[in-house]
Amino acid sequence: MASIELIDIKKTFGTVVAVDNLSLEIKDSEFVALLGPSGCGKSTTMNMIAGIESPTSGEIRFDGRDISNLPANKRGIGFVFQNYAIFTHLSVRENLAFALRVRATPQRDIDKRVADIAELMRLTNKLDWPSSRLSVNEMQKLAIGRSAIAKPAIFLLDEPLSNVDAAFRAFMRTELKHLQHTLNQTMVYVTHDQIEAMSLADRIAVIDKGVLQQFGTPEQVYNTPANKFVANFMGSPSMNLIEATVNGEGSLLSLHFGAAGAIPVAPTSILCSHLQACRTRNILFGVRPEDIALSAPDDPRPGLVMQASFVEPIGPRTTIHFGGSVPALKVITQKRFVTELGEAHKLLMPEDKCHLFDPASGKAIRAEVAHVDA
Amino acid sequence: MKLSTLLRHGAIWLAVFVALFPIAWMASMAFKPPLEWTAAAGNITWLPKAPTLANFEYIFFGTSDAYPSSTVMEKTALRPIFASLLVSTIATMIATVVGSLAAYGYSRHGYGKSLPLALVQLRMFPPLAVIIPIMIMWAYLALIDTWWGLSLIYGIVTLPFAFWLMLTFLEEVPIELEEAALIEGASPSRIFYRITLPLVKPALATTALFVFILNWSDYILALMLTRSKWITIPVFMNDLNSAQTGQLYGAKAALGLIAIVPPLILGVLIQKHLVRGLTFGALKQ
Repeated sequence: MASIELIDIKKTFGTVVAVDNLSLEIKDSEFVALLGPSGCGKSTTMNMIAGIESPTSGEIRFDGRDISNLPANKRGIGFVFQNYAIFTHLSVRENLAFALRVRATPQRDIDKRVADIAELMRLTNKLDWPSSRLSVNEMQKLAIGRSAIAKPAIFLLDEPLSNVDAAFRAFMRTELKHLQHTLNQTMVYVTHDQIEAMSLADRIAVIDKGVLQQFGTPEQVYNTPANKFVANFMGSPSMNLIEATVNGEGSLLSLHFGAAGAIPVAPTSILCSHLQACRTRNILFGVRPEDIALSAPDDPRPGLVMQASFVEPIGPRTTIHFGGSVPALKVITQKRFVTELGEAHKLLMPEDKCHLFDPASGKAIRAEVAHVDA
Repeated sequence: MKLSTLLRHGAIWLAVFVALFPIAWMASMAFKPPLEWTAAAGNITWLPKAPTLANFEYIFFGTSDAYPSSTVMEKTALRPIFASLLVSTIATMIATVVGSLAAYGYSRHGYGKSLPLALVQLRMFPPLAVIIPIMIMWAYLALIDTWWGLSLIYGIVTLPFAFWLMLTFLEEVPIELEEAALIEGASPSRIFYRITLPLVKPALATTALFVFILNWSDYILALMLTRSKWITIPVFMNDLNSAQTGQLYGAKAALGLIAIVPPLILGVLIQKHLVRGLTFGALKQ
């Protein structure tokens, strides 16, 4: 099996910097997702691991060995393309056998392994079909099977589920996880879908504009985002981020949200320690929509009283938008929550679920104690 | 029927008539005896009144009972037909193979950055503009009136066309297919022969057909670069006249009819490739 190390990888196309000094260490048999918006450099990073692109500077190591100059056909990896890249002039069988034929495998072994992988991918009854006649879902399975047949130690998947329908996507998520457990490979998975990344990956590398924003377990990335970008990108709907001013001294602090009001901060809370770590009075205050609790406007507990401006019921939960343009907050209620437009509610924000960001750098502000907890 | 529909249909039928009439006229002419060739005898003959194979007999044997004795010729159409077939085939192979490889190298590896422009420049002036220098060069190289000399110039003249056509087709082949094959461990030559080439087979056939037709119908290069041994069908056709009788229209028409056959056969053979998409469904776009 294999570990992957990217050391200060940089890739430029002309004057455009696609990947900027990216360093990642992917452990053996780990499932890592590269997550980011379109054009953030995640696919370029993947292509450099595969050897389709070579880095402008930096080093790539497999198992500690520098393979930066090794051509793609000598790296022994599996790669599933976003658009599958099925060899349509060949049959399903020949597509699967391609990697084995390249390696001059005896025909008997080819037959056996093609049968095995077809079984695993549920393509057995279509082996002799022209591959051009497969459905999109089957092409996806064929693409995965074709890459998996040579038992590569490293398996790269570039947005493999972005073209398939929703039901099949959910099914394939489970299948992929299962496949990785069966084959025990190191998997790198590129996606722009944070749900896919959260549900599949052991660790997620969040990338934006070619720069690594955070690398950690799904829990770390979700619960303790390193900066504003990660906070905003993870979660759907995304985290509420509103401007706030810190008032008071020492441990007697309060947060002011302009027209929406102010919240006093309990002196012993984590939020208070975070606030004490702030160097500025103006901060970005973040709280996830599902962490806000709704209560009656006359609830004595500290919170913001705001009016509902828009309600989106989506089955098991309801998203309610509060306030006008600034500040505006989204709240997710677990049950179907009945409210009138314009009705006032008190928004309660648990102090241990609040996030603070530096408005200039976007970096998360956290007291040291929180780091230890994370 | 509305007036606009009527006008449109009228225009289409006119176009069809303009395109097909000369061919029909030629086919009819090929079977007419000399007297019916022109209206000199008094009236126009649309269909041969006394159908005859004399014209074919004449071009293949150099003489026919239906022709005046002054028209007997030593050479026959056999040699020019053979010359045309040989030269066009070799030139088509040169242009298609070289053009395809150049287009592949350019589109996949960026070899020869100025190649497309340089090649299109070759087509910017008519061959006539350079025919005299080429004649002199060919004379120096002893290539005049040889099959290889004519094949070479045809290959060169049609190369840009083959290059551009293949470039268009090759750029339709998704690069991911080659990348996928590369990652599976295939060598560059294996990728070319096992993945790319099979995918562009229809394109190769199409290119070869067009290039063949270009070579097959050339007149000016063959006229300037051949003397007697390797004259081609178009040049030979021009020779079909005599001082006494003028143009031998029937013989020319018979030769023209024969000249249609090879491109027609080629076209029929590759027809199923001509209409098919190259890599239909290879990628989900």
